[in-house]
Amino acid sequence: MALPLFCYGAKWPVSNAQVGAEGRLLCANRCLMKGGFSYGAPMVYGGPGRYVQGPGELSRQGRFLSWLGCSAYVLFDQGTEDRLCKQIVDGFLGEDLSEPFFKIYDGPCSEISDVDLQGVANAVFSNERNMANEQAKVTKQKLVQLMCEA
Amino acid sequence: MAAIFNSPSKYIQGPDELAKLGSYVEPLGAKALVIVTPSGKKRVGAKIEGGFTEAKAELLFEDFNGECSKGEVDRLVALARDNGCDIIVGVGGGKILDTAKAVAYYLESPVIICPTIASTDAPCSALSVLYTDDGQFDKYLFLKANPNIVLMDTTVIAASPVRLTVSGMGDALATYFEAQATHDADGGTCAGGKGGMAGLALAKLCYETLMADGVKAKVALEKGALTPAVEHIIEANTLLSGIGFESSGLAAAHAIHNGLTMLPECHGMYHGEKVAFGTIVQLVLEDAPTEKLEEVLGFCIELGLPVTMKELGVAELTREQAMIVAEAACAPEDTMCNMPFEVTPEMVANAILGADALGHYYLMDE
Repeated sequence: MALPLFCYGAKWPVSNAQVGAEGRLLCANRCLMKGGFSYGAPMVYGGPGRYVQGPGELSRQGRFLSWLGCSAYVLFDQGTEDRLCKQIVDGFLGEDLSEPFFKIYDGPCSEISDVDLQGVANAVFSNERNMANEQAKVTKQKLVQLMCEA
Repeated sequence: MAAIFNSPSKYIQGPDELAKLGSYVEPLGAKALVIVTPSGKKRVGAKIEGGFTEAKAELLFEDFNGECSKGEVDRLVALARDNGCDIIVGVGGGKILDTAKAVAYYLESPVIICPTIASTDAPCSALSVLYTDDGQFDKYLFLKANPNIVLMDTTVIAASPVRLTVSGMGDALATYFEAQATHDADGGTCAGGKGGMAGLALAKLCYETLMADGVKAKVALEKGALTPAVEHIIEANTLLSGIGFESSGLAAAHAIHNGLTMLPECHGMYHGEKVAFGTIVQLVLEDAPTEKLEEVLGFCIELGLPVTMKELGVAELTREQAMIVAEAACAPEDTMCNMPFEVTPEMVANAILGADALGHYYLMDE
């Protein structure tokens, strides 16, 4: 039989709850969460897949990048380039990564700018020069040159 | 060395969530290979299919052959490629979930992990344990990433055998003690770095949740009731313990578990049941205060987790047997090194004998 029941943390009655002969709650269709109400909504935890923190980690990021893919599109603003150019470049050395493409962008995070940046990235990665270099290790000289071009 | 924190991108828990699997697949891929045992398909197949009717994604069911081996993984990778599957889903227990993760690793595709039991803290991790086709340990496969989604249908899990969820509590019981030991030893973790504050906090919350809700959850589960205590324990067993172990470290308890696998008498026990006893041994090894020992022993006895070697299947524990377990537990490549003091096999053997004796003392069965 269906009875309205007020349950832990729920602000509204839980419907479709089934109660056994002893009056004990057997199974509720709603998610009962202490301290919070959810009306059919699950509990969701969202996290970064990986969070890495420590001194000098920017210049060691290559070891994680090589797990995720070979061709990086690296986006940062002018201020970041001024302060951290060397560390960012160092991060791509010594791992089997292909030439990264560096892009300096100082604009807002808007839909139009995102589409533009994506277009640039696609154009770069379909460029014959990058395809040929895909498997080559990156040299420091080459990276510095790319930074200047960006 | 950096502090590294690993987690699944999303952990979703609630009643009947498997019915929404289609909607979770949609943003990640167009065609899902859903790996499940024949009996699992009988239990949840229709529920899953129902959710896909409204989703834009397609699904292809495939039977799991029973072992998480390189052979089975290769077979499923080829199947996925031949059928144009671009996302892998595993539904079931530990072996299926590990297989799904490994298949996704080789395919370089997203993966959704759907445990139908809460018996270990493995689901959230970036790790698969591979065996040979006849069930011998083969190797650890460290994955590039944790699962995209871990999906816990608590209606299905609450209907699974209670002993499995209790075993999951045994696995979770060790997490805080091993995390604290690793922290004190400044040791390394499975995530590849040191543990930070977040992992240790989740490990501590895991222990507190077990103490607050463990017994209530077990009692509720015996009547098939999905109460808030059950929801909390499922979260503790899977997410809190999962992040806790991977990002905060393992120490003596899991090393003892690995040592216990050397005794054939213990083969019938579940992973978490052996880890629970390993936790007590660690507490004896580090000379934890009596209050803490009594709290942990009381918890285990109340839940029916083993506190003596006899309960683990060893009728009369000898020093020789304790040494066999201790020697294996102290293997250099294992995690005993994360204890914050030097540990010898003799110390571990004595701790095993001591823990066993304490178990008998509190059980009052001698």
